[in-house]
Amino acid sequence: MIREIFKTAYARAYVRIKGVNSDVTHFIIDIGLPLIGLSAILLAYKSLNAPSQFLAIAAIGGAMMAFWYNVLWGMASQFYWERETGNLPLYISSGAPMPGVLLGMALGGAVNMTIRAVGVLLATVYLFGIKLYTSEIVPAFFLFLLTLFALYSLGMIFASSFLRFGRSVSKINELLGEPMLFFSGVYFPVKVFPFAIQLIVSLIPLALGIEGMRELMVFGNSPLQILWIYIVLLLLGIVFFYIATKMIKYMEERGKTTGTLTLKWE
Amino acid sequence: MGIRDSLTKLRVLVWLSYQIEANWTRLPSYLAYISIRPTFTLLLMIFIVIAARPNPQYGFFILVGQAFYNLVGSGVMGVAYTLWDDREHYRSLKYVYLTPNSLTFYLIGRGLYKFIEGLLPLSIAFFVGALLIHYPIFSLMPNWPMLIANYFVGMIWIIAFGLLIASFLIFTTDYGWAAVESIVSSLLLFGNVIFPTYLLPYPLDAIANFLPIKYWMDINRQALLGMSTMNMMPNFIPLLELSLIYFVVAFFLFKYCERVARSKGLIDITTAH
Repeated sequence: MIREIFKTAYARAYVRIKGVNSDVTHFIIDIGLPLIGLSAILLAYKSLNAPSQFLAIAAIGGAMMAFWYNVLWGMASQFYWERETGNLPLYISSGAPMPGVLLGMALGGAVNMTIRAVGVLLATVYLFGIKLYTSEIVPAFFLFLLTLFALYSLGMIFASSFLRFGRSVSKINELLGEPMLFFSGVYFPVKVFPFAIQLIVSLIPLALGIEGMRELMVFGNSPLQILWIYIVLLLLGIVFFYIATKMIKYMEERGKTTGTLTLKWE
Repeated sequence: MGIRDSLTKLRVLVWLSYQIEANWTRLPSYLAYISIRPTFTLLLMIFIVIAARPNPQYGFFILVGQAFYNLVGSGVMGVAYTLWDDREHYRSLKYVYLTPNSLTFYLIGRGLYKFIEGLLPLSIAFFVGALLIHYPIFSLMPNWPMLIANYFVGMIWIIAFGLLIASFLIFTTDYGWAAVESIVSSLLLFGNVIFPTYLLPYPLDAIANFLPIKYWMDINRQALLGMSTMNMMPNFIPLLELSLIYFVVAFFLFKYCERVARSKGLIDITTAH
């Protein structure tokens, strides 16, 4: 079963990576568009005469934003779209394990977004002369991987649970977009929030990941000083992943018994 | 087509847009839905101000800029995205040709709804933002006639941008969202929205002078601060000129593109859904 899950995940991830990266225009758009918005934010900080660290803070957050949008639009609403386009019954009738399909979606999305996030970060660092502590690049990369694990596991939960929604799924995604980016402090340090909100925010993988990477690469802190972030992200990832695998099985069974797996235009 | 007839049709198109946008839920939920996203977008910007602790004047600059920018984004989308959505999603674009309306009139009418709808999130975002940066908005004495006039002039150039994007979208099924997003994002960068345009490096700063949004944003700020009408004229006149130029160019370009697209059989092309 484990082998089948990984084979399915590879197949699904392959389609996603090959499909998106075969067109260079997509790549340019995916880097260029966030760069325009992020440049506006960085110039806003410059107009405020803010310390240069704020530019680095916003650059890291801005580069990571893409992952959240990918989780919402490339993961959460994916099964809904697969149902609308008629692919979902094909997935299920093929016998490929659904957790494998979910995992493949996550891996494919994560690889695609990583290439783009790195592109956005490098472009902003170059254009705005941002300085980062590269000595902590290895622990930062490890933290980044843990962030993706937790974030995409959360996306897998969304993908399963959103299967029961109709066309309101896009509205839910929109409602989850900016509020989550705000609470994750993509453009500013979450320390500006009151302590109670900071505690709640520390359960959001994106917020934790961004804050951790800032501590390492903007402020030059050691990984030991933010060990708790590594631990919380790992725990969140494990819990979310476990819930996601259970959830997709439940939603598949529920869809079969209620006959909603082929339902369109709700 | 007389003025009265046109107004009746516009009313129906606005009503149609409202039904398409809002009939998935009840009115209170819908009003909350349309307000949450712009409010949080503004909060994202306002917390930049809070984090960097600048003076209140800059807080006001960013507050007004971002609150009104939401109207720009939704207005452009209201025209451009309608074309894409009606063709790709609802597959109803071809049926517009079975009605006595032109496609241009239809898109403008559908887009107008966004300007009415956008007033609520604009107001909520503005008040919430002002509260957070402790800006004394109740001591403001706005120049209401200019603020309202600016709102209507804004409709002209925002619709023009929507038509310009629609002129591109009519030929393609790919990159639709990218076209809309790139224009809307560029307006954030070049539009005097969250920072003054003189901060843009040369020659990018010159681009801003040819965009109506630069003058539109300044007038919004000046009108809210109660500046006299005469003092706003140096911004209002170029705004009016640019808005009309953009609208005329966009109108004829869209007409031309529509004719070519029809002749090539592209009016009902679709990809997925």
